[in-house]
Amino acid sequence: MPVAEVVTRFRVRYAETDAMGIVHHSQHAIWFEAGRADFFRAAGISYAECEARGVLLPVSELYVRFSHSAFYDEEVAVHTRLTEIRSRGLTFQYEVRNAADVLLATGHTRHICVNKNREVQTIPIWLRQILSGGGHIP
Amino acid sequence: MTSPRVSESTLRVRFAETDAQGIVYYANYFVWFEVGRVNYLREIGFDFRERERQGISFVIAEAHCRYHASARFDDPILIRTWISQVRQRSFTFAYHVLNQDTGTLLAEGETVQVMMDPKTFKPIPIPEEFRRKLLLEQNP
Repeated sequence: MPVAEVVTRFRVRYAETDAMGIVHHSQHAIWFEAGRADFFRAAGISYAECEARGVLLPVSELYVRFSHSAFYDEEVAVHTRLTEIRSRGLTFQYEVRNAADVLLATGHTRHICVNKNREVQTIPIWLRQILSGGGHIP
Repeated sequence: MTSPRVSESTLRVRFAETDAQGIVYYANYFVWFEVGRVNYLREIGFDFRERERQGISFVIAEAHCRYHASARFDDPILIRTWISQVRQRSFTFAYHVLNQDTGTLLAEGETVQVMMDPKTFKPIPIPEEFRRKLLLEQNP
């Protein structure tokens, strides 16, 4: 079964807040990364293992839409979905909700697949199969 | 149609901004956009330390970045910032991030700021005087 959605839960750290008393808008990108890492693990391979195998997926685009502020110590959940697998890239979509299920932010990241020399490559078939739910680590 | 005024900010990549790939971590570009934005607003007379007295407050409603090339520790960075849109309750900054030595475009993006009441946190129209200033900056 493909991994439909992975949920990552944690509490807002003080370090993530700013002088307006809310989470700084740059921090959601780090939350997205946590969600993405959990997505890889749930699919069957850690992102660290992908990199060790010479498959790097740097971010080529980041978009975040902020709906409500997030506050220190509140529990937030990042819902991560893989919405697109192209020959040389991926797109993840994210929703951030608080414990009352209020939507705090939505966004996406696009990634290109490169090798260790940072040259663009097609996503290897084994990773494509793992991410689409049908594969295992060769 | 004239071009908007462009503000230039410079910084050097701090080691803390780099990650295990030896390049600047992607979230930091939103912080660099902020450097450009705050400098821009200071240049037009908007002092964040006097924010409450000036009665102007806004939040970031959208942020977008497209990454073209990597930045590394100690690289000299040039951030170009300009106003690309002024609406009733929101305005948009656009950014180019370049390597100052090579001129390479590293990233480009936008942020949408929504004006809000500092007490109720509800969106409000941009105060007329500030809005006129923004429009003049966008279209000098």
